[in-house]
Amino acid sequence: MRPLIVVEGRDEEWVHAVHQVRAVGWPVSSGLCDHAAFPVTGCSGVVCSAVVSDSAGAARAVLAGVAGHGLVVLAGAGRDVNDRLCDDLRHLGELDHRVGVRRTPVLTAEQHALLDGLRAGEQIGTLAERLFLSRRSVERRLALLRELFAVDGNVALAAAYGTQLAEVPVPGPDQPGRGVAFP
Amino acid sequence: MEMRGGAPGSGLVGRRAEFAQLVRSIDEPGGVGAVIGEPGIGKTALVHRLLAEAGEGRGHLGGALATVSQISYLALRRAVAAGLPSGAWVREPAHVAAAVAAHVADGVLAVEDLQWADPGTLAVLELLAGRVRLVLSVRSGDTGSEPALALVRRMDATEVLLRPLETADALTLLDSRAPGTPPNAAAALLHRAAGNPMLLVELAAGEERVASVVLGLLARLRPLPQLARQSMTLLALAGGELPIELVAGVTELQASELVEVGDGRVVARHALLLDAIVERIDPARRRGLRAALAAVLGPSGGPTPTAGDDRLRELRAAVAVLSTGAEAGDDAAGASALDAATGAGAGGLTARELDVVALVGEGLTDRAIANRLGLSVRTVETHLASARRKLGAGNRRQAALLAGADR
Repeated sequence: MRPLIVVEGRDEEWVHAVHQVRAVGWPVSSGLCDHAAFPVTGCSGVVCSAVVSDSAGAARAVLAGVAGHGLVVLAGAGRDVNDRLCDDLRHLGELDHRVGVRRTPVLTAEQHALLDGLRAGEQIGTLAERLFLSRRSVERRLALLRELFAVDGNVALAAAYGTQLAEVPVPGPDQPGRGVAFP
Repeated sequence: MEMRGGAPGSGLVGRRAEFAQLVRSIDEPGGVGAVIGEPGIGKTALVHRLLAEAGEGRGHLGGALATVSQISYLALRRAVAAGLPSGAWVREPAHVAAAVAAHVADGVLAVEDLQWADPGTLAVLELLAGRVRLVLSVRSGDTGSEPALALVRRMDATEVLLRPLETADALTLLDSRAPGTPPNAAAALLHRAAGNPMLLVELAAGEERVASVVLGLLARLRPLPQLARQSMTLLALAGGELPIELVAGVTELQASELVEVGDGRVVARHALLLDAIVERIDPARRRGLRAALAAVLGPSGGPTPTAGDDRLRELRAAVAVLSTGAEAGDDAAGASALDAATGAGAGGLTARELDVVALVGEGLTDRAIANRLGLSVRTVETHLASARRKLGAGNRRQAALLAGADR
């Protein structure tokens, strides 16, 4: 199953969703191909991240979905366009429509990088080196993350982050490379 | 049509009879079955199950999409794309139908969401009736639903109507998706989902899904005429139930399956939608509107109010501005209309003033209105000026909007 995520909210929430998708192993491509020249040919297990601000953008997103791509879309068009977009994507797979208040924290790119490292078992020193931070900065940032996730200790933090990532489908053994090719 | 192993339709909670009906509809080659119902009621599940049981390689599934409804033959291309050369899709419907029929042969062609299909797809499907086994689905209450249903009837299809799940079936579904839900929580979920399987599954997944579900319900109001939308607001203010005499646009509301009608009452189905409508009204106005509605309804056991009740007309005017003038940020007009409805301000429109603004809403000039009502132009101008003053309207169109007369 591929991710079909529509975010109606702040840019940060969309960026967070993109990082989540990337963190579970999907290749993410910025923008949508121009599917104006239908038929769409070929596809891969790529997730497209894009901002949809009008009906033409919504059509491109839906056609990318029809072609088999995953999507992480920031929906900023009018209510009608956003509703139709969600409606269509529900017909293509399981839609993760992120609107309204969410229970789990929205993370920045740096926070994702820290937590990805933590999940992979990296130590503070390694994290500091990889992210060009001091050990003290890494510790401060992890303390803030523990507060955000309301957990004690970095093991619990990594587990909580893993639970949050479970919102997003992971690539299956038959992906990338699935999809519908139109003649 | 022969279905492969296992009990036909097993696992389809509360839909065994409908599934059997759908299977029978395509028993013979050329048979057509159409699954009809509101969004989320389980049309897709039924169609997919039928194709799964039809056997490997025999089912061809396509469907129209709202956002790209202008693309020719899209719904069919999704179903049989791999089987036809690309050149087939630029031909006339008769040629496309012949190619699709040859490709589907003794299999099943399923096309979902006919309400969004392009004219080419609809023409091809009509030509395919009687030639291949066809399974269609149509959403009720959408802008394209009527032409799609008309086509279904021309094709003499077996219509499989999906109604809300019975409570016991909804509970079974809930148990399968969220086992161990405490009885109180389960009862609340069943009430909010109103027998709609998709709503039930979404709501059971957690509170974070509620906003999305609400937006989906609100979207179903959009294709409705203004009067029907106003009636939903009145129903929301009334707690979900009103005498049928007070509800304009009942036919459209019923077609969209947002209400049920019985015993002279109109009952809204979705408590979530009602809550969302009420929440979008400023609390002070909400109180005023509810008081005005109570005045229209009168004491329990009293005479049934009528659609011609001036207070009801005034109330509709206030509701109209909430759904139209409010979008334009016309707060003063809204307050004025509310004052009229609640009797707190300049008072309501007279019957004659309402007649005049209704005709303004139809686009008539003052002279045409005068001719229609047998009045002088000057009298019409006087009535209109008075109505504008009472409603706080800046121009003729606003007056029509405020009086709920703009169609």
